[in-house]
Amino acid sequence: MPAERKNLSDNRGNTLGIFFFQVMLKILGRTCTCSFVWVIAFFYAVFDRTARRAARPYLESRFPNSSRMQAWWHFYRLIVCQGQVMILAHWLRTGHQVPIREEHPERLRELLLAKDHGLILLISHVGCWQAALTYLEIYQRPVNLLIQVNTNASVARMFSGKHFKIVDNSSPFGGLLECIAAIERGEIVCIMGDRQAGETESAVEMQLLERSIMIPLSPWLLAARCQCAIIPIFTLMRGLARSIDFYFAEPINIDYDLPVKPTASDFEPFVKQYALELEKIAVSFPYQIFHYDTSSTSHPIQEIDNG
Amino acid sequence: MDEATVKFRQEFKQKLISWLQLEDKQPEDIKDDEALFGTGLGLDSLDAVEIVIALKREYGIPQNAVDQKREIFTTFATLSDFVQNYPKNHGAN
Repeated sequence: MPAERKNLSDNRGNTLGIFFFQVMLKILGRTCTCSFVWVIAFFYAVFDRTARRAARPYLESRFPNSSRMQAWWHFYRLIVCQGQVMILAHWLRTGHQVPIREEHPERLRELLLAKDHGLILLISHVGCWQAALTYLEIYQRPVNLLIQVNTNASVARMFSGKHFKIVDNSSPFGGLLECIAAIERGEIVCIMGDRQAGETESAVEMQLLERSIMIPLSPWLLAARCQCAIIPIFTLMRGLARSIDFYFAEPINIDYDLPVKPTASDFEPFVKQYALELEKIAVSFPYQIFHYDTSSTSHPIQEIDNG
Repeated sequence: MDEATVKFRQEFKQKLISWLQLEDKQPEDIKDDEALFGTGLGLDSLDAVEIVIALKREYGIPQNAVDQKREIFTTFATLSDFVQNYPKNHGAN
């Protein structure tokens, strides 16, 4: 079972602060509110040492050789971006829409049309992943979202009762049997691909920007055993929450049909394809990767829920 | 326990070891009433996936049949008995 972790978003603002932003969003709209995030984020960038420590491993690998001042600037930009993503998520959650541009949607469409078999969409802690997933409704396929419900309360709320089904990975067998059933029904299963849900979750070590990260094995095993494709998807915010780019990476098909349990090394070549896609995103959109290293902080934190 | 059940369990233990690559285990290490997951044999959710897929592949037991009876994963005996008694007309091979 994944260990319960504290969510970094719990540290982001208090009820009054959130209410303030909600009112501001209603009166001034998202562009002005997103601009104002620069002011608020400045205080977090100065005083939130826990977040700074947690962000450091990613930022150091993305921006090696940065001076102290440059490192602070990168962290500030990261916090600003995270705040703006939260604004965008709230904007979408309250029934508003923003333009969405799809890149390579045919990769998903072809798989959905080609056979009556489900597939796995591999999501990452990139951009406004939760909010943008609502867009998947247009594909007219039920979407199952495998998440840790206790740390993603707002995500669970966002998707409940819609075209989505939440599968709790703290349920027996990590919700994986529900995922098999969903794939066999021809549905879409969304799984977070870039971070272990807990230390006990089976994972494979992979290099991202020359830094080791642990990639959970469950989506890869499911794909191999259900003989379905994995499509990594990335949802990137453009401008001041102006629009969202929805990027579908090349589908990954896992060739494994031996009657014995595969080892982590069997999946390495496939996981590497995903890591390379993630790396490309980190290069192009460095402040939209929300990889917080829990081991470097005195209080374990995890950024999952910025929706 | 009848002779057929004893024989089936022995064979099924061997298969379980093979499917899950439990290289450090022998059939006699798996106790009939031992929990499969968590404590006991210490299997995890990925092993559950492997078992479900293997039951379909080797015994023709569909995933939804297993899904409706999650209690079969309690111990080795509950799992083995479920497989042994699964109706043959469901396409065992």
